[in-house]
Amino acid sequence: MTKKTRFLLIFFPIVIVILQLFQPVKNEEAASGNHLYHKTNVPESVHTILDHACMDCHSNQTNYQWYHRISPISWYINHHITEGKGELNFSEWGAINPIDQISALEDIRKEVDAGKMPLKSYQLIHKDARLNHSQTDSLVSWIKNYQGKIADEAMR
Amino acid sequence: MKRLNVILGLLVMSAATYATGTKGDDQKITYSMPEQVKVVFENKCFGCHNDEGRSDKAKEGLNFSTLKQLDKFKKIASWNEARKEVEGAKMPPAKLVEKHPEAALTQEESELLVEWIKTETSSLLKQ
Ligand code: HEC
Repeated sequence: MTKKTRFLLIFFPIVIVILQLFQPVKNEEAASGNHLYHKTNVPESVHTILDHACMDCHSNQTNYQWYHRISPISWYINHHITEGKGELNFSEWGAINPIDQISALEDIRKEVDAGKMPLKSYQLIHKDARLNHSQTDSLVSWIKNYQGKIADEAMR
Repeated sequence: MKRLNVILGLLVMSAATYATGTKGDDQKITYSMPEQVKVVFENKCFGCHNDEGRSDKAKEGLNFSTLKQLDKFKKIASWNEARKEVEGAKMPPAKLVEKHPEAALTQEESELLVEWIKTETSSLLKQ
């Protein structure tokens, strides 16, 4: 073993251990009354899709796996969560107005139709986040229904 | 001197034409809206946001050629996106404005568009 490899063998684990001292704040708030699920009755099939494929990055309640707690993976995940929540946060659904809700639903439909969401890197690890045709269809028809409901309520 | 002015004037005009993609002054936007609003959209947005625009991304985001045919929810979403872009001063793109300062929206134009879009989306919602 050269001096250099010995140095790396000792140095690398130390770096990893030190890295563990630096962790992002966990995205684990209690769900409030503004959560999508409190605002409307989401059908079981759509509920499952959103839970498995979207909520980790688009809500204040990430369901962490053990390896998500390891730095630097934790930072990588945290970056997706912050960015994802910046675009769309189902935990704060009730706080946005009907017009923004309708647009957000349209955005969701487009992203899922185009296969852009959930993120590819996420699908790689989360098998049940890969949506098949019938799942996409039920998501899309729920979106149409729900948009109609939002408009009906706005008229009252 | 007079000739120089004419040349300069022509140059500015062609730059503006290039920036906005306008060719003639025939009606471009068929969506029903007040004339003063339409003028701003036609001069500052239509050039990229129509079927013949060069950028697919621009067309996907907002397309004045097809907007009228969309269902009410897609109309709401399109207009609402447009409002956010204008409010956030993200459109017209900074790159274009850098080269053609006259392509930018003035404060009044931007307020006019935002206000009209808000009225339009609210009335679409209640249709
Ligand atoms: C691994 C994290 C992650 C998952 C899972 C995920 N997203 Fe996203 N989402 C992001 C990030 C990051 C962005 C912002 C960057 C981008 O647009 O790529 C985003 C952006 C979006 C946007 C806004 C896109 C835009 O440009 O307007 C929508 C809508 C969206 N996601 C919907 C969904 C839906 C619906 C699901 C589930 C089917 C989902 N996302 C799953 C991370 C995620």
